[in-house]
Amino acid sequence: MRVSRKRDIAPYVFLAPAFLIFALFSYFPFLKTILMSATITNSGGEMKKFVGFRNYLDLFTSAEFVSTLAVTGKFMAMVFVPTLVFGMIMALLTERRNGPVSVLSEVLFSLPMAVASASAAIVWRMVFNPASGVLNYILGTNINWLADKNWALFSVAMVTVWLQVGFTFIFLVTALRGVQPEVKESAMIDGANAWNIFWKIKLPLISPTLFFVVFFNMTLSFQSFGQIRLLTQGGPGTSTTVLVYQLYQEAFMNKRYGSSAAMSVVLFLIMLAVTLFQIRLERKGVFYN
Amino acid sequence: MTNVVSQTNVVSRGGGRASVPGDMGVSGGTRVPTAIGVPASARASVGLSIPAGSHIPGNANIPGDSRVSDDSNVPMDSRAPAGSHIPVVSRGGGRASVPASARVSAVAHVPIAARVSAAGAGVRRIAAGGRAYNIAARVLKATVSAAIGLLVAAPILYGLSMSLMRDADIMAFPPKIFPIHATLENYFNVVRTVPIFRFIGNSIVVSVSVCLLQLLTCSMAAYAFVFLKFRGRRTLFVAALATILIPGDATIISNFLTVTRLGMADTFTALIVPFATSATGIFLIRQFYMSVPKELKEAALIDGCGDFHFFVKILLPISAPVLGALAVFAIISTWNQYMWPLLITNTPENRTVQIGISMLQFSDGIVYGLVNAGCMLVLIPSITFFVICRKKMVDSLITGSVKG
Repeated sequence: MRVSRKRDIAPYVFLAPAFLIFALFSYFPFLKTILMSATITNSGGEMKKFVGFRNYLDLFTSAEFVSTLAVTGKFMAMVFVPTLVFGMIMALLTERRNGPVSVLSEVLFSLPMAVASASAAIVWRMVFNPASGVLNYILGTNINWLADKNWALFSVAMVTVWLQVGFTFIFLVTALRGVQPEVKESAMIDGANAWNIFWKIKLPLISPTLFFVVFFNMTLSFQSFGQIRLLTQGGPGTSTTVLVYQLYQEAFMNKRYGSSAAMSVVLFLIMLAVTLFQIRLERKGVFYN
Repeated sequence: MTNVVSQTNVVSRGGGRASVPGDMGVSGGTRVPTAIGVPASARASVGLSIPAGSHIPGNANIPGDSRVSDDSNVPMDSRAPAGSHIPVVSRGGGRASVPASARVSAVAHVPIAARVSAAGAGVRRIAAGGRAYNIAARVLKATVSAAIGLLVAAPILYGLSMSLMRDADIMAFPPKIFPIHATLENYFNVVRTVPIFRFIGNSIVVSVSVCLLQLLTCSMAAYAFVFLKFRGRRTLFVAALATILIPGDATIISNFLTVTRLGMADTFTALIVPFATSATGIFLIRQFYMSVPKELKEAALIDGCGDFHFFVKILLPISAPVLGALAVFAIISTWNQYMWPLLITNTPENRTVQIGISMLQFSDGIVYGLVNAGCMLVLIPSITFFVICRKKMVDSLITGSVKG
C-alpha cells in the first residue's frame, strides 16, 4: 500500500521543476502573446483594448512588413546555400580520419560554433570597413559593405554563414563517417570514381542529415539578431530588417507591443510551417536505410 | 550517441548494435551502455517520433581502417556504373568485413551494395596502383584543409591581431595583418573603460547556474518519463517537446513584460530562471536513460532503494557522460546569449559579457583596438572551453540537435 501511494505522487514530483519553468516561460507567454496580438497596449505593455485581427491586418497591408518578410526570406536563402556548400566541402575534407591533421581541421572548421553573434559582429566589422578593411583590400574593390543597400544584406549573411557553418560541418561529417565503408568499397570495385560515389552513394545515404541541416540552418538564420543589430541596425533603409529585428524594434523602440506580438505569432507560424514541411518531406522523399 | 542511432532510422531494427562515431566526439560521451552491459535489444527498441527540431543525423559508424581510401580515383576497367547497385538492401549481409575496432557497428542493417565476387582482388589492385595517387591526393587535401581552416579562423585571428595594434595601425592603408608595434594598451583601456571582469564574473555565475539547474530539472523529468509509470506520461512528454516548437523570439516580448512587472528586471534571477530547463536536455537525458537496463532499477528496489535514492545514488553517477554533454552545451549557449540579457539588464552590475563588449562599440564612436581587445577577453575563454570540450559539445548537438 505504502509503495503504491508513493508511486502515485513521485512522477509529478520529478516533473514539477521542469514543467514549472515551461509553464512560466513557454506556455504562459505563448498564450499571452496570442492574446496580446489581438489588443492595443499602452507603452508599459498593458493590454488596453481588444481589436481582434486588426494588428494582423495592419501588418499585412503595410509595405514595410511585407518587405521585412521578403528580406527575411532572401536572407535565409543567402545563408543556407553557401553554408551547405562550404559545410559539405569541409566535411568531405575531414571525412577520413588521418590523425592530427583531421583533428586540427575539425577544430578549426567548427571554431565559429563557440563564437557569439555579438563577438562575431565585432571582429567582422573591421573586415568590412570600406577604407581600411581587409575585404576591400583583398578583392580590390571599393564597396561600402555595411552601408550600401545592395551589399548590406549580403555582408550580414556572410557573417551568419560563418557563424553557422561549424554546426553544418559537424552534422555532415558525422553523417558521412556513418556511411559504411563496404558500400564505398563495392562501388569502387564496380568502377565508380570519387565524384560518382559522392553523388550516387554518399549523398543519398546521408540525405536525412542533409534535409535536417537545411532546415536547421533556415531556423537558425531566421532567428539572427545580434549580428544585425550590431552591424547594420536593420539598415540602410530597411534592407537588412529581418522579422526578428523588426519585432524587436516594434516592441522596444516603438513600444507597440500588440503589433509586435502579432509579428511574434507570424514568426511562430512560419517556423511551424517550416517544421511541418520538413517532417512531411522526411516521411516522403528522403532515402532512409 | 549510441542509443539515438537506434531510433533515428531503421538502422538497428532487431538486434542492431548502436554504433558510435569515434573521433567526432561521441565516443567518450555516451558509450556507457557497453560498460554496464545493456543488451543491444534494449537500445534498439526505442521508438519515438520527435518533432522536427530534434532529428538525429545518420547511422553513425566508424569507417575504421577501411582498406580502400575514399578518395582514390583509380580507374578500373569495369564498365558498370557504381550507382547501379545502390541501394540494394541486403539486410544481414556484409558483416564479414567490419573493421575489428572496439566500437560496434550497425552493419547488419545498412544497405550494402551487392558484392562482386572479385572483391578481394579489386581491393588489392587499388591498393597497389593508387599509392602514389593517394599520397598526392592526401597532400592536396591537407593543403586545402589548411587553407579553409585558416580562412575560418581568420576573422578571430584578425581580431586578435587588431586588439594588439595601435589605432593608427588599424586604420592604415594598406591594412596591416600583423601587429608590428604590438601593445597591450587596448587591453588596459578596456579594463579602464568598462568593468569587464565584472561582466565575465556575471557571465560565469549565470552560465554555471543555468547549467546546474538544467542538469537537475532535465534529469529529474527524464527520470519520470523513463522509469516511472503514471497517467498522462505520453501527453506530458509531447507537451515538453512542444516547447521546442515555440521559438524563443516569439515569446521574448511577453517574457520581458512579465519579468519586468514582477520586478525581476535587471536581476540575475531574470537571467537564469527562464533557462532553467530545456526540452532538448530532457530529450538528451531520456535517450540515455532508455539504454539503462530496467533490471538495474528492479534490483535497487529489491534492495530497499526508493526512487529518489536510486536516482541520486545510482543513476546520476552513471549518467555523467550525458550530463557532461548537456553541461557544455548549456554553458556555451548561455555565455553567448545576446538578446535576452540586452533587454533585461540595464546596469553594469548585472550585464553579461556579450552586452558588455557591445557597449564598448557604442561608447564613443568606434575605437577598433579597444572593442577588439574587449571581444578577445570574452572570446578566448569560450573558445578555449570549446576546444577542450569539443567532443562533448558535438555529442549533445548530434543528439539534441536544437540550438539554445
